Amino acid sequence: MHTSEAPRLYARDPLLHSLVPRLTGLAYAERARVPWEYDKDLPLVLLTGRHGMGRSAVLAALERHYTGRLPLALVDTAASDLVVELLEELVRFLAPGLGRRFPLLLPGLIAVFGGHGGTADERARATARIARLLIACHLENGTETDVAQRWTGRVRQRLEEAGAGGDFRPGAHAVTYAVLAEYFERYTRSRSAAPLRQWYQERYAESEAGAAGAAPDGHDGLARLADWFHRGGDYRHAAEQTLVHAFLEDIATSRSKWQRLNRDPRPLALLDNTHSPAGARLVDLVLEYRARPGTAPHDPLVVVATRLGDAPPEAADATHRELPDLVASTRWRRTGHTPSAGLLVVPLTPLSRDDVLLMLDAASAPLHPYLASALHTLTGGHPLASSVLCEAVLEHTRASASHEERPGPPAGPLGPRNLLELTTSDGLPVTAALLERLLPSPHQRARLVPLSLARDSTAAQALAAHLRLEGPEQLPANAAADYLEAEQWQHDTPQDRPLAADPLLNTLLVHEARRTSQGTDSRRGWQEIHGFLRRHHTTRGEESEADALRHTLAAGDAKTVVAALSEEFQSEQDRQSALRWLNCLWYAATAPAPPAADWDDERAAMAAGAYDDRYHDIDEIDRCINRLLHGLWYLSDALAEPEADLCDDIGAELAFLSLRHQTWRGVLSQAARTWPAAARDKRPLPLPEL
Amino acid sequence: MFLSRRNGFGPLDKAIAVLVPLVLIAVGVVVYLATRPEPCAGGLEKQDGQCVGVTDTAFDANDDVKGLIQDVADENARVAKAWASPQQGQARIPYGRIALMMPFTSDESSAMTAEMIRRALAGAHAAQLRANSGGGPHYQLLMAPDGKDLDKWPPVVDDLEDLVDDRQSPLVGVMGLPSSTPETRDAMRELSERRIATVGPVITSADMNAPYFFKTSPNNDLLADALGQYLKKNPGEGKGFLVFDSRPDDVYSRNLHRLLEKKFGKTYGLRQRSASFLGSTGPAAGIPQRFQSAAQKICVTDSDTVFFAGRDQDLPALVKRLSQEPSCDRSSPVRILKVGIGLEPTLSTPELTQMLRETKTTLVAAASVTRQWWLAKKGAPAGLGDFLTFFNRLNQRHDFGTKPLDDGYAIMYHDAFTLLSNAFDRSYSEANEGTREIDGSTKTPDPARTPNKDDVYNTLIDASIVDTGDSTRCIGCLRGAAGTYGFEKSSDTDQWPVCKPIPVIEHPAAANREPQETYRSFEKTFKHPCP
Repeated sequence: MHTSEAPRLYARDPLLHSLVPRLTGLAYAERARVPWEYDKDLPLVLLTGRHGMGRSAVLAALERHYTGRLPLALVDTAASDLVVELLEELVRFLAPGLGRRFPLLLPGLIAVFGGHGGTADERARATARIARLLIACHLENGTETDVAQRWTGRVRQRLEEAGAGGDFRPGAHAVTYAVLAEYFERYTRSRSAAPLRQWYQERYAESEAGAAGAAPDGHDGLARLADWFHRGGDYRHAAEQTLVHAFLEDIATSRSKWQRLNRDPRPLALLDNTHSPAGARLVDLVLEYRARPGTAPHDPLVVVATRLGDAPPEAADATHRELPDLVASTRWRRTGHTPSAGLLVVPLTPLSRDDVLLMLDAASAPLHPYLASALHTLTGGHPLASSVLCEAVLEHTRASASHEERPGPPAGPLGPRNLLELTTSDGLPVTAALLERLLPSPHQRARLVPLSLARDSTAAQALAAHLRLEGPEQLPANAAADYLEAEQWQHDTPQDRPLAADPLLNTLLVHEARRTSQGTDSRRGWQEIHGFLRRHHTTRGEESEADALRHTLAAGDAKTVVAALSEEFQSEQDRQSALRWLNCLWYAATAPAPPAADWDDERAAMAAGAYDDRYHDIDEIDRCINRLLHGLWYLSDALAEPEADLCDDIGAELAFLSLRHQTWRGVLSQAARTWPAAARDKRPLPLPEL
Repeated sequence: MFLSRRNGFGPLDKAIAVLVPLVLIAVGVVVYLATRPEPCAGGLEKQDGQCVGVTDTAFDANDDVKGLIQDVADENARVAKAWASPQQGQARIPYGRIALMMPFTSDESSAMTAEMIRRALAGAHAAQLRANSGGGPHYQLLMAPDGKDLDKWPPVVDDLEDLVDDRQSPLVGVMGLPSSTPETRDAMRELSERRIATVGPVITSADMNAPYFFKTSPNNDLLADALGQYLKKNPGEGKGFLVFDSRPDDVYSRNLHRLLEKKFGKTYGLRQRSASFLGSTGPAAGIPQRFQSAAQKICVTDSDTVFFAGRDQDLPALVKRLSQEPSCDRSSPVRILKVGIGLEPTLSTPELTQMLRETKTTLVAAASVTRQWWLAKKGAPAGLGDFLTFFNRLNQRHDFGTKPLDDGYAIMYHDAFTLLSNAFDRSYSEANEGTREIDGSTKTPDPARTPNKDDVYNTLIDASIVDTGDSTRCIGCLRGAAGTYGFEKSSDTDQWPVCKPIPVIEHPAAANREPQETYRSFEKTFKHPCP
């Protein structure tokens, strides 16, 4: 059993064992130093990928292995709205491991937090942040609450001493000055404080010095920083830039020459979800700092950030590397002066079938030999889906072995077809659990589940109207498509495809629709929806005939489909129609299987001719088409094992049909040759060339 | 530095990890080299845990001789300084070097006891002081420890030979070689091969002979002859008995046993009247000193003249056994006859003396020295007085215990040194004798010629006792503390002393005893008595 505390990461070794150790100088899993790939200028590593590609898992693994071995901070940038808050968290995590504890950044952050206006609640939070900073930098001891109380008390006392009247309400500047005076007088020596003030002073040399009244004790620069920050907008951006620069300069100066020569591991900052506004801003500011011209000293901070989707579009000069490229060397080199030149983008790639096989290796009982393949075909190597399904498989195997009653597929050997019916260890159906993670918004998820059955946007729109899906938006289908784009599942939604373009997501949504179908009589039932969609496509004319058939089949009505196909087979003569007929046949067979509650899956047996006796009333061509349709329908399922017999039968049936038609022989015999092979390989069935 | 070493070791860490132990080791080595005690002080080398070699400075030895060794070293330094950088207004005094080759350490089974070492060194040092107090060349007394069992002599001999070629302060000769063991014999032969004059002060085995090996003590044969002369004068009842050490590996005892049997066997019927015992010196071979059978036989046979062919340390046990033997009637006196260098102080303890008196037993020992010389001042040799002067001075400083002279070691070692120093003196003065020039002035060689070991040997071997026709005269004889005697080139004497007085000691001494005529070695070869 592998433990949930330390889940193993698959197919991420180039990142974990090669790239990051070469950046930090410390091996991932052993107590050894690793030669640095970059002596001075470091790339900012940006891991990209969709939901569930394991971005956060990589960061968690890095944190787990490096905590206590080098100064390390793991910050979820999506949890904060402000860059300063991210800086505060970074300081809090990094300070204990560094020799010098942010002498430059600290007064800046304290000025910004201390001068915070706003509600009492906001002020309390800001004071708590100051307290945390003071504790992290070993300037204060005690609990956060105590330190915050002491701090507030002292600042208030200063304000009271400054202002004479009892009901004096201090202005923002006065508060900032009091905070700075408190910080400098209590926590720094005057000699060491002067250069700090000077640094801030120089950043705001052009500022209107006299406008806000001369600040006491040369706190001009810092007061202005706080002022700009609270003005917001571009001013805030400038203040954030100053603070990020202060942060990186502190990191740079905190490393002694000894540490550098001794190749002590570099500090590591792990920034999760930098597609969030604050995260993106922080990454941009770090990149800006590193891209500034001149030979200023380089900061030694190793940054590994994650981002949902792809690299930001404006990062034109970023270096892109695939995971396997990272094993030896990234060959990254700053090529331009744009900030994005400091970016090393590494898209996280799907897992291979072998990884899936390894994940299933812990099973306590022998598994179905095709299970790993089916799982891989289903998920396309998606790490989260693979791991959740594998966990569920292992759980099921374990439960079967110990004869526990569990929801989901019956105990006993697990077939590939039952994969989606598994439940997680919490008892939640796997599809529901996965969709929760992949589509975080429950509202949009609920909307996408039925809409995913529609063939294209128009059908989805019609279906939405039919289902009377509610929401603030005028066009629920469009809103759902927008949501998918926002969650980086697709860049733009094609009009002629289902809403969820991602096959895994679509499969999951369809299955969720199947699973949550509430019987035949419900408006939202499987049958009802497919009936509506069939009608919808019938009204859309001849072009949508295949779709109508597909939905008919999805509703479980194979007989009608066979009849329609048979009629066409026998009435049409020209070559073009042969192709259309094959297309119809193939497309209709891609229909999702109806819910198990309403329908028994006998497709494989039907294809093998086991139930031909039921159809003695129809002619042999119809029976042949029936077998062919069921065979193709069965094989179109992503989870179905392409059994050699079934595939061969497809060829045989097509060959039979080719002999029974007056003009389609060539087309059908070509399909008879090519389709079995394609079906075996789970490739799309090729339509014969005209 | 701030984190635990979970983050591995960097290049500087590794450099320190390598350098710190290296530096510590280096410092340790330097400190050790700087402060380690020399394995052997005084330039000696270590062999099997013992320091051997030749040195003129102080070195590690028995605690009770350290002071004495330091004295010798100081004197040596003084002598060297008087030659190399004499005090203002004083002439450079040439010096020769005489090596004292003997053990300087002892344990329970060693060849020399601590007391012997002390007295031997004291005697040699007294002789050195005496020689250096007069005119002529001075002498360094080189100390050449050759192992407590005398078996580490080869490197010592090599070292000694290296000193021979020194033109300014040559090695005059070697003295020491304390007892007659196979190792001593080999050393003696080796030294003789290298033509280095060697003097054995306390050698008594008659077969310790080599061309360059001189003995200042008489051998057992001569001692037995002295006993024979005594017995002629004091025949007693004529009932003899022989007690002999049965150890097969004790050359001395076997040699003595054979000798006594040869000399007195027929007269005293010793072949039929004898008993053996196992001596205490040597490897374990059974219970030693079992004298019960011997004592019984002596008493049963009513013997009054008991010849003792063994080592002195076993004799007290025999006396004790005899005194306890119930079959003895103790009406008639018994004499126990022995030979030796002197009378071991253990044989003259008050307790043993009392025992001897009670059993009417007298120890009769033919020896090289007798305490009568310095106690009664009767018949004392002419050279004894000078020796005593220097020896007593040393005794005051170092306290050599009671009866420091009785065993004869001090006196014999003194004589050995003096023999060599006299020979060098004579060689030196002859070599630098002024030659009369044509203009009538005398001219001495400049720089002074230094005689070498061959000159010393030639001087030693030059017959010193001459027959003038009506008397025997001694030219260049050694006026030693143990008598005035010389050496002859003839093969009869084999470098044994000629005219050496061999007193016969009676202990306890009978009251009002007339002085006995002292036996002189090889006196019979001359027409006239020794001078």
